[in-house]
Amino acid sequence: MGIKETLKGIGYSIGNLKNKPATYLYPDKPLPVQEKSRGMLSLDLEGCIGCELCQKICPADAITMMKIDQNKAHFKANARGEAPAVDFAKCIFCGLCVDICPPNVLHHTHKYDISTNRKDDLFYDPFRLNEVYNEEYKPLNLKSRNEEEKPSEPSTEQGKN
Amino acid sequence: MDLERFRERFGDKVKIDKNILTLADKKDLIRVVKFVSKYFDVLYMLIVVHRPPKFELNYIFSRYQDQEIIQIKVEISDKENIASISNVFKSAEWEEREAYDMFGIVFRDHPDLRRILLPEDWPGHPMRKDFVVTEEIKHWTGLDLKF
Amino acid sequence: MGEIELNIGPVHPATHGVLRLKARVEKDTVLGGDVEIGYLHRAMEKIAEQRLFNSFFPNVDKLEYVSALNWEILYASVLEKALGIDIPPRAKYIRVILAEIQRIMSHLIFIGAFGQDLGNITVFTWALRERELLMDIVEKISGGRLAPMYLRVGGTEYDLPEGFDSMILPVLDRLEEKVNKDYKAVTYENSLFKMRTKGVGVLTRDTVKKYGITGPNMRASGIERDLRRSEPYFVYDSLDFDIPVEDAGDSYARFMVRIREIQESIKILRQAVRALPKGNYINKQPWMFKIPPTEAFVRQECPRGEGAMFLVTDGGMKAYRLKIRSPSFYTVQAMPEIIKGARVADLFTIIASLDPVMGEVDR
Repeated sequence: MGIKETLKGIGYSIGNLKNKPATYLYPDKPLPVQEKSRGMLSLDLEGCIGCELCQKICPADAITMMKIDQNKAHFKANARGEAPAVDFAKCIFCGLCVDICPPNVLHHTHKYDISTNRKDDLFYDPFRLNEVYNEEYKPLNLKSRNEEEKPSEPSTEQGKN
Repeated sequence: MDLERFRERFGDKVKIDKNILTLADKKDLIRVVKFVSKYFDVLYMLIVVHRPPKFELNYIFSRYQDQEIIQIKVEISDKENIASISNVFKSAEWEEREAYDMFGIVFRDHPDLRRILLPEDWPGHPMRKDFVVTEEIKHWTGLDLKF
Repeated sequence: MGEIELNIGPVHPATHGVLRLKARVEKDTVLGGDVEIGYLHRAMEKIAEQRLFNSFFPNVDKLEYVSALNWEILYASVLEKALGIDIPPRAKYIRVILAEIQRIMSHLIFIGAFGQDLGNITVFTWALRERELLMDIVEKISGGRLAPMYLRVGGTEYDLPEGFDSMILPVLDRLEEKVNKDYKAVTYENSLFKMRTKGVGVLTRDTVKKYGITGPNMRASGIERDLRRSEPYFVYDSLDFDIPVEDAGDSYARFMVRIREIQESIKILRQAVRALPKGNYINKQPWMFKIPPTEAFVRQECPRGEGAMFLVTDGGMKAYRLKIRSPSFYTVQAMPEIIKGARVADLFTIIASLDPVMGEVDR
């Protein structure tokens, strides 16, 4: 009545015992991520030019521009004296701000565990984003959209006027 | 598809431009749609565009044996109502209910015209261009709806 | 005695999302019913009027969340038709490859969910295990699993990674072996499964033509129509594949059509990967652009039927009106007529074999 096929199906399941287990031992070991995975954002503060394009294109309204003291930040060329602040409670990790940034100073890292106890801790101002950039989660330098442009180094000479 | 037969049948009540038919008067809609139903099987989409103070309705029909489509355009004003075509094409029932829900257009002789995507006592019609989010909408919770 | 009204409510593990079905039942037969939708309405069409063209891509991903790249390809195509630009040949092949990968993933979820509704949880875990291999490939290409965000106007964002053939061909071999051998014993050649699905929920040709149902549900009732064959877009007219058609119109035929579509998609993928040309992968456009006043209409074959988009612009940087046609909307409209005369225990078989996804019905 269905006994022979069911026994065949059980045979396939028992044949799975020879494979190794597929469990990820998170949080003892890190999760496997690919090269292009979109994690937390990081900012190279010296190269930011304050153009506000990342604020205009964000679909979730998570980026706001904050006024920064020019002496503390050591900007190379920033006319308005502004830099982006990211609210990770609203960010959807879509990657549009990283693509549009003209001097290529916003990057994705591979850090995926940023949960805290208070919601206000998730608002990262530009100095905290700069600290993420200098930490051990080094950002990747993926090729930019044009094949001819070279991938930007962290400290190019920009704004030569 | 050759639209010459429409021009022969209806004269100057229609204006033809590639495969888009524009009707001059909304009262001819049922007669034109009944003529369309001899050649096409099903209503594919109904698109309503609000250009204040008028609504522009686009009906797109298609059929199963090849890939021809035809588009019919009608213009009505903000405060009028229009005849329903759900007696001719059965797939138009839910499309017209959605147009009533989002824009507030009333279709005459529809078998069951009520809201479909939003709850029954929601105030306003959201897709109109003069829709404003009021305090009543911000605090709407739906806790006094009876099931 | 009377009939009772059975409410299969929106929160239910077997309704494929949030669908409410009010069935009128007498003794063990269903006499008819009412369908209520709108529990997942997220106002996508109103948001499209307030975002720039390129900022709307994350919303399009979340319409049909099991096969997101198909709808991204459709939205990028409608913007390219309104602008009047062409895309390079390599981009066309990449889009065909991604569309077929997502079609296989969507049909694997269908097999798993269908088996689980009948009580067979083993098939669900097997189908998700195969889907993980394909999901790893999508993550290597684009960076995201459920929301890839890979398409841009004029092509794609990055190129395919190096060594792409050696990544995907072993996965296709393993998938073919599993679908042809392992799944047979617990689904389509199992006599218990056949008893529960043959003759249940018959969908006649007249009902299909009355309600405008398209996709695999239409092909299981005998109508042979596929947009990839009759109105070919991208490079489908140079690839060699068949269209599976069945005659019976019951749940077993709808299951078999989707199994054969997986086999045909594997054939298409093998040909496309071998014929991939070299060159540019994008025809670069500015990030914030304006479109002159026009109308554009594009339709393509999504895994559940024919999807379409209609765009009206007025010369600004945002859309004036965007209308999305989803194929599951018309399938759910026809549900009260299909369940007449069935037994109560067969209701879930019928709903699972029609395969609605509530994310695209409610938008």
